[in-house]
Amino acid sequence: MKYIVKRILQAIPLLLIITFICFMLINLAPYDAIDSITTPDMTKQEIEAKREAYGLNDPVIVQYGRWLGNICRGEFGYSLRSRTSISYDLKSRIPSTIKLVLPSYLTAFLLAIVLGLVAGSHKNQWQDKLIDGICSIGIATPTFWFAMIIMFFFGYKLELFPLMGMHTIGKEDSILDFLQHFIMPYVVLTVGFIPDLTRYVRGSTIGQLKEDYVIVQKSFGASKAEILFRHVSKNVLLPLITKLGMALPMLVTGAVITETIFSWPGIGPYFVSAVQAMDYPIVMSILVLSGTLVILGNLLSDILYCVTDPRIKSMK
Amino acid sequence: MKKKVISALLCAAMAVSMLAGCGGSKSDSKKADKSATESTKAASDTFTFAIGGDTGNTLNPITADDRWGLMTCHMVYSPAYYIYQDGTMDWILAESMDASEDGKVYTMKLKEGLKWSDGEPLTADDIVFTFNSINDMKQNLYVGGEPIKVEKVDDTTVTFTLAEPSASVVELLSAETFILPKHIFEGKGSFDVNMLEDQVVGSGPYMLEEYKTGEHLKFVKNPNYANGEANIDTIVYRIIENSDTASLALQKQEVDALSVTVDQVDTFEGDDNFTVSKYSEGRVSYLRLNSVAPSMKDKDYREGIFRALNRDEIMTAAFTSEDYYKLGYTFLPYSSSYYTEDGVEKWDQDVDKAKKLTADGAKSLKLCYVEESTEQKNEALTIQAELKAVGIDVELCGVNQAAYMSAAYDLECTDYDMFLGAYVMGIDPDTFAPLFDSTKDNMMNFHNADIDAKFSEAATTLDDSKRKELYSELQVLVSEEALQYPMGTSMKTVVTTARVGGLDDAQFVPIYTFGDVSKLTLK
Repeated sequence: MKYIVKRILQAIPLLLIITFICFMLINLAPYDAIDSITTPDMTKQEIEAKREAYGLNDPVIVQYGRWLGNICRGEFGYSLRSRTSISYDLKSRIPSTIKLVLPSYLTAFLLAIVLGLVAGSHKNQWQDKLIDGICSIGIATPTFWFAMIIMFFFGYKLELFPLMGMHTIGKEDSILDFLQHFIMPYVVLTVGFIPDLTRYVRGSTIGQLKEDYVIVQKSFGASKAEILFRHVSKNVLLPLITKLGMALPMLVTGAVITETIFSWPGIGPYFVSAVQAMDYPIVMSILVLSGTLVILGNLLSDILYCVTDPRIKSMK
Repeated sequence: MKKKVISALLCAAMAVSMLAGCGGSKSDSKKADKSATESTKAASDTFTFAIGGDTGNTLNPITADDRWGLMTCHMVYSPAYYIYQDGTMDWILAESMDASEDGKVYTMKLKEGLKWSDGEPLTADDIVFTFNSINDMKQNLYVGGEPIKVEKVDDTTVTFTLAEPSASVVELLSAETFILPKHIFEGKGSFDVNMLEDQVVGSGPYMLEEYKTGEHLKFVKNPNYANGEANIDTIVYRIIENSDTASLALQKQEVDALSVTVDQVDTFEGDDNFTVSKYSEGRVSYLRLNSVAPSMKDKDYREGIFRALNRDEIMTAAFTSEDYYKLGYTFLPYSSSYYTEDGVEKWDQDVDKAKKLTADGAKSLKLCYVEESTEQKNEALTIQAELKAVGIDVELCGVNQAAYMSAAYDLECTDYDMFLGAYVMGIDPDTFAPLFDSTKDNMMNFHNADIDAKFSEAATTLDDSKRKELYSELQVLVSEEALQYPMGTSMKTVVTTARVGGLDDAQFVPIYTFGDVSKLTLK
């Protein structure tokens, strides 16, 4: 318990440093959010008045201090472009992203364990080559392209699913309608997550199969499947906990491209357009959220390690 | 070996699907009639318009300046009147606007029996309240450095008193000025409307029924609209950020209308399921030579640059064919009633002369443009090739929108020698003064006292023929400076599904796309 508290306290300066660096980087750009909303028919006076009103003329450190003060009070502030409340937008966008990313990641995770174990245990045989080959292609395929292909064939040509969005307007409560909208981005995202995880499991499996305990089990006459699923899999799953912990921030920023293409009302399109427009209150809010999740994710995986592996506990 | 075979097979499969994907996008959308997806298609009484970004949850009718926010205001609020590109007036809340002899007092008469969407009466008090609130917040409505004085005469009459006569004040009082309900905003302390929680009260053709973050805005018709109840019951603004997705959604008729780019329009042209409409926003594309850059100090050299260029070639590269642009030779859009080419220096292409004139000047120049804009990228490439022919190397500097604005409007910036750009100003030619008048914002970085004097004279001249003369002289003067090379007016294209009617009555306008949405119909 003391350990957890210590870790959380350690996270605070880390977050401060992350946000400070990001804030400075945003301010290094030779232009700001006001430039992104300037149009030729606006007067200089008008533009300057806006810059003043939004506090963009203050020294960077004053701006950072003001932002930090607001965050500490739990206020995310307002978008510089559209003056809309960020917390309201986040409140409705984050659940949408989680609804998409969580099932996709879990599916990819489970499939990757099975595929990775199969590939690793059949090293250099056809199963391995097939799985590894597909993974190579998967890693090399850009998500936006795959998403457009899926959308074009299944949404447009075959007309199996609606092209975009999360609901048909007026059918917000229908689960069936949600699922119809959900399938295409879900598949794209799952396919996007699988290759990396599979290769990780495969590599780890190959490593474990060389361990002494496998030879011992073999000499006891255990079947291959028994060794793989009863003994090796347990050891393979251990490093996967790290992966799982590190995946926590994905709940916020895990589907930026997929969301933009399928018009999924999540964080992705919101974040991208804010970055383009130098809308720093939005960028910083999302950064704080994902930064916090990275730190929490690490902490979570450390704790899970202790729980699952008694050896680590005894090391402390 | 086996592995190689498998990967080769997979690569082949991928290539095939890639080709199918690319080739397929041009095929027509006959399948859109299939009944299988009837459920995903727009409902029969709903008009769905795809917009490219989210408004956010807050609407502020006074400070809104982003496109989506303004489009939303246009649905739920009304100005007193609206002026179309050709100068015709659309009387909405007001029925007349008359000037006094000396041009200093304007009297606005409101229509009888106006009501807000919540049933409360809309009176002169609301007009006075709106203009005073705007004057408290910003200086947009100042004439001669003073706010316009707004006074109520009776329930349907308001007077506007100016410090000095102004020819463009009628337009000034309508542009993006939405009349706001005093009974809602007075004492509220802010003009922010939370679209998730507040009920929005307005006088526009529609009322906001629902806002879903990142998904859509849904409007239902306002029974109290001043110009009569709208034809279509429900209008939805569907947020689709990716333009390829939006185009596909229109092909599948999941949405009814979309503003398309020149390279997207091919798919819809000649297809009976769609109507392709082109209209001018009065958007002028130009190349500007940076008057403060050391390379551009010599006027002969600047003329040499212009002589090397070919308008037609540049505009064709940007907008593909003459259907989408009209060549122009002055700073005014082609559609302006003040546009004239009399005496204007056109700088027609003359490569030999260009070579001679630029012989002693800089041999390498930097051209700044907006990277995200395909048309500007194509313009830049053409200019690069044309200047190459006279022995000048052009470095293309594509930057993002915000960086462009910050560099282009910095009058001391010498990082770039040339800027590509485009502007949509107002209908009255006085709205163009800030571009060239060095006593104003001077966005084109001109320094000519003659031009300044003429602009301010024209602004306070009320006699139309005298004004025409002044603006004709101004168009000549501006062209002779050899700093701005206007290329022409480009068209905007909107594609609607065949079931949408009343497009001519609604009219196309800048920013909002549809002028009077209440006139649209659905078959």
